[in-house]
Amino acid sequence: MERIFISCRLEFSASHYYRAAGWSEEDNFKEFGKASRHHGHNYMIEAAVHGGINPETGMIINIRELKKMIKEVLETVDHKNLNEEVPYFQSCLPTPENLACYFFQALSSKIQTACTASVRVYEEESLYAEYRGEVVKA
Amino acid sequence: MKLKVYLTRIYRFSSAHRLYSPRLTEEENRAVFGNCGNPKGHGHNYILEVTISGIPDPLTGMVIRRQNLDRIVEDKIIQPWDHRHLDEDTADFKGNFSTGEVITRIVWEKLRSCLEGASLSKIKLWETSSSFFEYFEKDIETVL
Repeated sequence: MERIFISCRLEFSASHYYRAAGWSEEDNFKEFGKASRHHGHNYMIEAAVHGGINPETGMIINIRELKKMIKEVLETVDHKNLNEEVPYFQSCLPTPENLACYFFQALSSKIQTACTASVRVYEEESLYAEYRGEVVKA
Repeated sequence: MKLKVYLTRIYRFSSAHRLYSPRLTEEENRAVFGNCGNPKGHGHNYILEVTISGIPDPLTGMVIRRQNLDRIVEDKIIQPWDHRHLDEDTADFKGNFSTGEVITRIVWEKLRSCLEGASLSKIKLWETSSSFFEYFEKDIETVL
């Protein structure tokens, strides 16, 4: 298959904090610094989708459909407290690394006609994480 | 099942440099390096993207602790290079060209050995808003 991708960028805003379960406030501050306090970000997500070009439409996937699916995924996090209101983050911290994995899995289960190639999550302009569907066997 | 994630942090430094080869004549230098060979030097706002790969730590959810990465890049790259002349004020470019390619390679060499077990995946260096250089962990053929 051709190596061709369609990508889409969307934004959301959410709050979070980094604290390890059972740790004191002091220990959490030592480990995570000011990120141990409840704070928020304007995030940006960039999702890339890979697939064949449909000869009927000239598209890998209809970008309006793609945006709609990404928006549905973002509804689960937008203007939420990621630690307390998103079930995925009951078992791990809402870092950009884990957000990228979460979005990749959520988006993959929605896209039927093409493959999710990568999801990039910007927490700020100078920091982003990307998940490309790679699994390391332990 | 462990998921491999790529974490990128972006840094800036501003440095002077000059491209010049002592093995070429003045005329040949002008032909190869153009105004980048100006004897009095010139400079850029460099933008450096450092990409680390790995499995997020189960405790921190992170591939690498931000403050550790920031400290390493500050010590190895920013502090010695920022607001200095790369060729005249640093040891890194003695006998080396301070081209984007070589700067990118030197960043790779300086960082890869001191990342506390994390794996360096890519270095991307913007010299201007229209030109950038990339150094990958693998042979380029396996990436493309």
